[in-house]
Amino acid sequence: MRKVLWLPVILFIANFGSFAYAHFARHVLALQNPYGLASAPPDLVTLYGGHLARMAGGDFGRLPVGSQPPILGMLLEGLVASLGLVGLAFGLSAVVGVALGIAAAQVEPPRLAGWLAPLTSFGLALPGFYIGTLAIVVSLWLIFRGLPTPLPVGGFGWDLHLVLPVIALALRPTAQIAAITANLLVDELKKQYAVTARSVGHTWRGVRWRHALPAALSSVTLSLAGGFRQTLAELVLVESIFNWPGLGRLIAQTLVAPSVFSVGGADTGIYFLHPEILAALITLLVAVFYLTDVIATLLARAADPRLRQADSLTA
Amino acid sequence: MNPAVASRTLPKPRRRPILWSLWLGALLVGLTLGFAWLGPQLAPRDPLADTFIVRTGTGEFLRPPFTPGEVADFPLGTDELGRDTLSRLLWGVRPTLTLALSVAALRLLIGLLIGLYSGWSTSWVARMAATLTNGALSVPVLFVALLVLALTGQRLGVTAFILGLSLTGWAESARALREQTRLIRSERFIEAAAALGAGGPQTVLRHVAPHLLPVIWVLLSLEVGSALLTSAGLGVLGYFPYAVWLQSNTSDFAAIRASGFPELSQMLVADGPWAAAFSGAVILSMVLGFNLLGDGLRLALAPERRRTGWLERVAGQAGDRIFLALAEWERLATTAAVALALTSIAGFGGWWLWSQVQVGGLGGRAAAVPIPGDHLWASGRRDPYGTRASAAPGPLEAQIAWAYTAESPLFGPVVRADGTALVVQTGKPASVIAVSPDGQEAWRLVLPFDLVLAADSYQLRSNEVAAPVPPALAPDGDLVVIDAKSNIYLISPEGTLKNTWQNPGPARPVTAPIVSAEGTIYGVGESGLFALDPGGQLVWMTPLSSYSFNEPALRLSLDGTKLLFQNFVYTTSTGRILARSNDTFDMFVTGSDGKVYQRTKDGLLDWQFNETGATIVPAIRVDAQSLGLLVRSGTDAGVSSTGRPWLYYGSDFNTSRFVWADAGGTAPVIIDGPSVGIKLLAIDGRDNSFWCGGDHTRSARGEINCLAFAGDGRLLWRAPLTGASGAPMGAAVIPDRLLVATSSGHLFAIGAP
Repeated sequence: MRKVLWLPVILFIANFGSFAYAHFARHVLALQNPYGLASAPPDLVTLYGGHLARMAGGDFGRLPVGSQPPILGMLLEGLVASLGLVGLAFGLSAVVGVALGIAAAQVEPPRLAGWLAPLTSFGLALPGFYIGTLAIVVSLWLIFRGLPTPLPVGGFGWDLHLVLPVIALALRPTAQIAAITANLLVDELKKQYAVTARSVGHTWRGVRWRHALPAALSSVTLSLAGGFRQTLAELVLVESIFNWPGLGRLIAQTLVAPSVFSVGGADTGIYFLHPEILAALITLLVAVFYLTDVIATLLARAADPRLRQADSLTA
Repeated sequence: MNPAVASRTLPKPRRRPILWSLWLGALLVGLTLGFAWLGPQLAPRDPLADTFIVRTGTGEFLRPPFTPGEVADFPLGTDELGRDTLSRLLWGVRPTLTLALSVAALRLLIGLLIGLYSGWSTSWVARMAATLTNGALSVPVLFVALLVLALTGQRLGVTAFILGLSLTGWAESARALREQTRLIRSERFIEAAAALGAGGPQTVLRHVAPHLLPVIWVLLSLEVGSALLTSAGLGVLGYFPYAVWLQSNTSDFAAIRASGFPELSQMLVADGPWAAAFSGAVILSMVLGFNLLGDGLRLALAPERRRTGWLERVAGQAGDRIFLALAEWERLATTAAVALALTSIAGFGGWWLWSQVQVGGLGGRAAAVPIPGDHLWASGRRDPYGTRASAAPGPLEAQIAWAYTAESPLFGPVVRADGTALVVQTGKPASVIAVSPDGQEAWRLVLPFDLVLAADSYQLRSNEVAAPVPPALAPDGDLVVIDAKSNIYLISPEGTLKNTWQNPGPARPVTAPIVSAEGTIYGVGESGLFALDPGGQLVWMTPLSSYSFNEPALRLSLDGTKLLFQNFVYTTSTGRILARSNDTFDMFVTGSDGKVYQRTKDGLLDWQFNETGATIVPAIRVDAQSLGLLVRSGTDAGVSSTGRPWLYYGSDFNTSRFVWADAGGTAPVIIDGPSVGIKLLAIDGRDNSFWCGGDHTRSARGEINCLAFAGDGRLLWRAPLTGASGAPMGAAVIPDRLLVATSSGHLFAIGAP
């Protein structure tokens, strides 16, 4: 509960910090112009005060281009796109990862399956964005031979467009979750109570599902939280390479200078170091990371009576 | 016991499982290191060489990009410019691995310090360190790297990448080492050491740290893998550690071409899909190798394996025989000496690197060609060889130390060994003014001719010159001045007119005169080149072979036997043409390394003269097309006092462009004058270049500004020359000062007062 109470403070720090960083970075870069387009350093207090006042009225600013669409609308659209992608990817990595971890925990004696280590090593070494690269190569190979491409490589759509980005996003967290789950389960199967349960006649299957897995569930929950954070970290790269219009791609556009060679080739300078956009993005990310940690902790406590008991004792 | 019975009853000893991850990881890491070391030698082709068209065995003409297997000579295909992918992969391993190893080492060092302290100590500082570690862990390293790179830009180069990847990347190592330290701290032998009177630091160094060594090796491997993945991710987003930083209006094609230096993360996006697939596979195998090696080391060095592991036995015996054989004080002294040496190396190296960045110097020790007479600046381009490059450091601050004001435009300056600056003041009549190092007029000599800077070069009068003609200093200190008819005047160091030579032409001077180490005066008028002996007598005169000039300059070779002017080489003894380039836009230059180069449109050719002629060796070459140089005229070139070649494209109608042709021209650093009229004037001993300019028409309008750029392209400072207007007429770099003469009659000294 205390952690949740700290959330507004942390969000304020994140919002102000990123807002200040954007203004400061712009000022530093402007100083590099020999003919000094920069004047005095920005008055952060005044600027942020105005920004807070506008946010309180629901105005997150407007983009300085074209019809000047509101930034809030753009952020919400990106949020929906990213949530869908992350939700699917995380769900897939959680289900497949836990399933692989359970399958890799062998018995008599309790040990890890031989295939787990190479699988997880390969999975952790494989960059998620490489899936996109390989997909592009395969698609080109098919196109040059006049064959249809089974899956679209880039773009947005709640259809087959989801397949490759979800796979790319889910790969590494799956490997991580599988490795951690398997290790936790094997550790539990080595404990005395598991041996005792087996000795009184329970099958290994029963021991695994009725005793070991519930005991490891809290730690598995925490590893799932770690996998979720990793999914979010990979979001920037995967959305950029697959041109998925989510918050990850927006983060890349706000932090990658427009003069740099870009995958899309478009000049996205309007977003670069945009204070309002960057502040909103960072605040949102911090909130998601923090809440993930809180929810994972709550779920772990719910799953493990020992943690609940420890809490009541300390209280 | 009966062996037959024993074999039935006793269980067979269980074979220790082979650590396949260790051996496979070691194999992959070994291959990676091998390719990093030998890759360039193994590459079948130049990774930057273009291929425009090939003809296959069937007679078919193919243009790049080639897919793998399409052309036999390019087994992995090419990019759209025909650059061999296999060669680029072999070349690209080294810079990628270098970056990853640097980042991993830095992360591990920081993580070790923080982890060790927070795991051992229970103070509030240690708790803060632990909180800091947890906070750093919660932020993805990629985000932090993006924040750092967005702030620093490309001007810090690889340093920005190392900083961004290490700023919070140490947290994983710190956490692991913290946990390990806590485990060791709870061991009995630590308690025993404390009971025997061992202090905290002593216990940490002698008992805790050795037990962390296995963990450190594991972490190092894992950190390298992590750094490789994150730098690859940055490459996908467009941040290449070794890229050329171009302006935002540069097309993607030009960006591909200019970022040609092969590096694996760059090849993920810049070289086409097939190259991306192959470079991704190489990165994958590198990461896999380091991860497997780390995992294998963790298993091999685990306590249950340590007692029987051969690795540990070998390491243990080596330690026992060598280190433990020493006496107690010898061990302590050895450890202290090694620690002190490593700390000194790291500290001195870091300080030296930092000082180089701070002063904007990227080159090595300065070694400019000596100026005859040991003057500080003896001609318009510093010396009779026209190098423009001083060995002295220029000013680091944009302060005006002093300003001398005259009534009309000033040409020059040249600076004697004692720091006295000499300028020619235009007027009717003209004058020579000597200015002391503190900006006071030392003496003034009225010259017996009129000299006027023409406002319009198409309507020149008899006493007008279209361009500045700075004087020159002879080795004995005499000043050589040329007038509007190419007559020569010798002025003594005390300010008296010694001698004059009437040009038989007469004709306007094309460029400023120079004086050799022997005192021979060389000049160029529209009627021809001429040589005068120290007494002012004509030695030879030869007609010009061309009449179209753009910022012409007369230079000598270092041995004094050749005179270089535009695309011709003359002998100094007779004025005979020794060599020439058929391209009239070429020019011959002398570098600070003493070599004679032919400057072409896009590079330098080293002319090595011998008894029978010359051997021409290509020195550097830049991609003129994608760097936008084909539409520009090259006006100067050279080699700086630190050995860096450079090309300069000055212009009165476009912004001027300066190119440091690093790595043979494959990794150029480009500096653009911020506006038309801002031109390069001089280079100092730290490879800082100094530019000044105002209104490009050289009219009286427009304030003059001077700028200094570091050797990596960063802007060091900008100094408006308050009160001056028009255009700079010349400059000189002397120790910690930049002297600039202007068409408004000012002589500024920029630097600390």
